[in-house]
Amino acid sequence: MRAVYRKDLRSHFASASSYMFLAVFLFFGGSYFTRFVLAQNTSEVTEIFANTSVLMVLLFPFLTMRSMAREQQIGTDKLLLTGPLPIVSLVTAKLLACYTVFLLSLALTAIFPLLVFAGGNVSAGEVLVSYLGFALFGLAVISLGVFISSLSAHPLRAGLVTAICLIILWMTDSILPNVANPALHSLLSVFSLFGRLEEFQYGFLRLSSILYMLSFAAVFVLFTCKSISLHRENKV
Amino acid sequence: MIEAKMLYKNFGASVAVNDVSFTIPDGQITGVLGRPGCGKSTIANILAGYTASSGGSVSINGYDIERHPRRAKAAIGYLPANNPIYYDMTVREYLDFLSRLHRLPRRQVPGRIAWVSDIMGISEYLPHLILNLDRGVIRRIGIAGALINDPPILLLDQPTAGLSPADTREIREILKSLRQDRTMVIFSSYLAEVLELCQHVLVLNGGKLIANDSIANLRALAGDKNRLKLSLHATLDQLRRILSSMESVEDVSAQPGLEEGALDVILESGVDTDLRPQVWAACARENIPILEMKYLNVSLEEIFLQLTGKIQGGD
Repeated sequence: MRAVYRKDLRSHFASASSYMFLAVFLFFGGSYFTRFVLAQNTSEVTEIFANTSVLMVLLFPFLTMRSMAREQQIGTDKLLLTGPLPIVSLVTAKLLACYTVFLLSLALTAIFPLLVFAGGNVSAGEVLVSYLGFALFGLAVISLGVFISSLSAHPLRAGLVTAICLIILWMTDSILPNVANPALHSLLSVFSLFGRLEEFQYGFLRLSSILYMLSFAAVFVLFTCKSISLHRENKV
Repeated sequence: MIEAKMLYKNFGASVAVNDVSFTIPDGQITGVLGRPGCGKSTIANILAGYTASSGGSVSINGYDIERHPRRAKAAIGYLPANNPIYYDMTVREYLDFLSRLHRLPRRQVPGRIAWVSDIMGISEYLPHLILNLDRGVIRRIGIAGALINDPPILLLDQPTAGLSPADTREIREILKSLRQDRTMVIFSSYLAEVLELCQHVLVLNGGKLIANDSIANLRALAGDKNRLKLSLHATLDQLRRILSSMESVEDVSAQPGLEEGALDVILESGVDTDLRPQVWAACARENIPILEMKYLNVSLEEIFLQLTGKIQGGD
């Protein structure tokens, strides 16, 4: 598993898409920090995440689109799937490689709260909860992206579908407060990924939200494993 | 040992592999021969555990590839068709990655990389980016990758397809050196390759196994005879006298040749009989000039075409 993780991580930093992810993520993080925190002279650092989570809809696909699709595109999935590595280890390694790039970019944003810490009054707990929420949100979204990447041999197509799915999830959360039908409301709540993230951003640390994010990721890891197994049925 | 029982693979209505069964004992070098699209690569992928069969079973050294994939795959080194490879790695990085993928102990990795590089003649390319190397070297790197776990079974799908004659010859020589103490299955469309490297042949046509035998027996299967073509400056009476002293001749056909006074003759004999010394001696006795003498044997290529043609005709 470590071999695939190292290979993928290396591949992330050898490709433009990961650098694009890092650059755009940090650029917008910095912009929001300047606009909402520095310019308005507040200490609401978590506002940055409230705004960047929407941006992530368009950024995460860059990170995940190649993970499985590229292997299928160049045929190297044959090397991986005919080796002794179990499918679940392969999927986990690929997920963790994407997640490491995400965590790195998240870690780099720590400069913003640290700057505020230096010159103002910030609730450390609130910031940490916000970071935890964003880290879990990233894990969930990346697992979805890796799953979609396993469905296609075309990275761009996988990226586009991931973006569309994330937009649908985001819109689901937007319309959720206006849904009057209780059955439909509870059904749509199952997909309330952005809603759960919001809870963290407000400083609420709920076990149910942590478990939701982890379960979301686990379900899509299992879906990815199943998708690869089913693909074996259709391979020439 | 590889054991395939009633392998079946379909993609919707299209059947790629149809009820194929065979056993490849330890240490045997087997060629799987067939025209492009006959199901060779599908079978290779099923044996390697990449593709799931729609029916039947595969066991590698006693382990079912579906029920015990880890144990079965650990015994296999696989070179897929088209040699998929990470072009953005150096040769050393690539082999290092595969060693770790196969969970070789860390201390063994440098030694193993040196060993496969030495066998495949790629030591000098270890620091090079694969992208910058030529096709023949890249194919050797692919085979080195299949060998990295020193597997008892090596599956090679089209190991020389698309290579120059020089690269093809080099790779075939390397494969010959790998034959000892290893079960090897070579999937190929090239008869010459199978003839040169293999002891046993499986011939596929339209997804069906149409022959499973040694090369010698395959010749017999197609009704092979030795056919010697002669062009003699002789009359029919002289030909009769020559033939009267040659008991090994089973059939004769003769017709006037293109040159004046020449006779074109075709002599048939058993597959183990070489008529040439007898013909030479008999003609010398009768003082008959031999204008031409050559074998018109049915080549394995013809046998292969006959076998595949028969099936197609039958369909």
